[in-house]
Amino acid sequence: MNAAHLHLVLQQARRGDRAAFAQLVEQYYPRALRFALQMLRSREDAEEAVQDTFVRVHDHLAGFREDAPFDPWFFRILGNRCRTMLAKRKRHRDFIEYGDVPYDAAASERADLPDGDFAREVHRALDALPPEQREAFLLRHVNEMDYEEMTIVTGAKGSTLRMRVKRAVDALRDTLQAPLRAGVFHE
Amino acid sequence: MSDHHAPQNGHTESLPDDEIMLAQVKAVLSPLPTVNRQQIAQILAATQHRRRTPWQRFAGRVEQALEWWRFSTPPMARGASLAAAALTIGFVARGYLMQPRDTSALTPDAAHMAAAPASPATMAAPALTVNGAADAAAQRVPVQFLLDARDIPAAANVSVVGDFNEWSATATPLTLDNGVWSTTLPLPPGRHVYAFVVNGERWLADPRAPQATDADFGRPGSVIIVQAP
Repeated sequence: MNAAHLHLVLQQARRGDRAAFAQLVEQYYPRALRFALQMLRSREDAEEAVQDTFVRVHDHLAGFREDAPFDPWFFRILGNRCRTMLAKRKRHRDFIEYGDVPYDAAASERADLPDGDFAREVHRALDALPPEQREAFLLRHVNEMDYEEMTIVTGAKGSTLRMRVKRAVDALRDTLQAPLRAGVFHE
Repeated sequence: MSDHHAPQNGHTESLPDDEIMLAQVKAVLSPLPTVNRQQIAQILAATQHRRRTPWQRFAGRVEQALEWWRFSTPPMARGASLAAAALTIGFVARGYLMQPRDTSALTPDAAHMAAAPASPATMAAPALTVNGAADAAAQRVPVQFLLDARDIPAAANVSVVGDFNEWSATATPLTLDNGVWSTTLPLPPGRHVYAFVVNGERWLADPRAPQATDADFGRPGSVIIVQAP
């Protein structure tokens, strides 16, 4: 969907055109799910966050400025949903940890890791990043946003985002570079 | 869009290690996941009959703003902005609570106005203050305007004009009784500027009240402060 087509679809969806909104969902769902999965590492949580995001997009589409870029606005809502979900999960984990049953943080997430040594290690390394670094890295290098768009999405300043991305890359390098050089991974 | 250039196949040898590593990481993370069509159908169903009341829309906006604020503000800044908001509210509330109830010793009721010593021209604010019985329905206080007929011997008619009657020279005429021109008006609490108009043309400040410093276009005016009951 090019920019002109997206503009048209958004205009129609704002006017309540169901087909246009469906087109918008079709267009954005896969990218939204990819981002949510990589942020949350749980299919169930990711699908819930994405569904919530689209409901919010639907509700607030009338207030969306037509001349503003849609992607950052969309990912801002999605990012907020993911952060809320992470905070909820953390609260739940804290509760369980101090409760009777010890919580194995990774147990529910292992099932979602892909096959293949390197891919598995990438996901592990990504999971080990603090959420704000993971978010900045994914927006920059997977969703290919520029720092201006990332500022809209996260609310953080450009310099802060650059630092987060740099730290994320450093951490990934530390985790992945040595085994890569040694040729440990065989896909 | 990007200041990062992904390596092309076959040219990875000339790129720095970071670029190679990033390209490989991106290759792992970029493929789109398989989509469960049922999820898309659920989203469309969830939004199909979604009609929200204005209150729900407002609550949604507040929630969104709070969420945005919560995540985009560092904890320290959050605390600081909360403290600043609390201070501002406290400061404004204090302003209201500490509002002077009794602005000066000048607290005659309407009847005193006529009997007060006639030296208002040199008096600065605080202005004349009136406390009165409440007109509970409109929260207005009846105020009596008096003018000694000896001050205006040639007067055939006198009216009072002020911000309370849009400065209309015909809206509020005074009646002459026992050598005193008088009328009573229910006025809302607050500061009012007024004057008397003699014979429809001559403006006259109340000789027994403080002069208004903000007299209308140079014409004389007096000030009265009506206090809430």
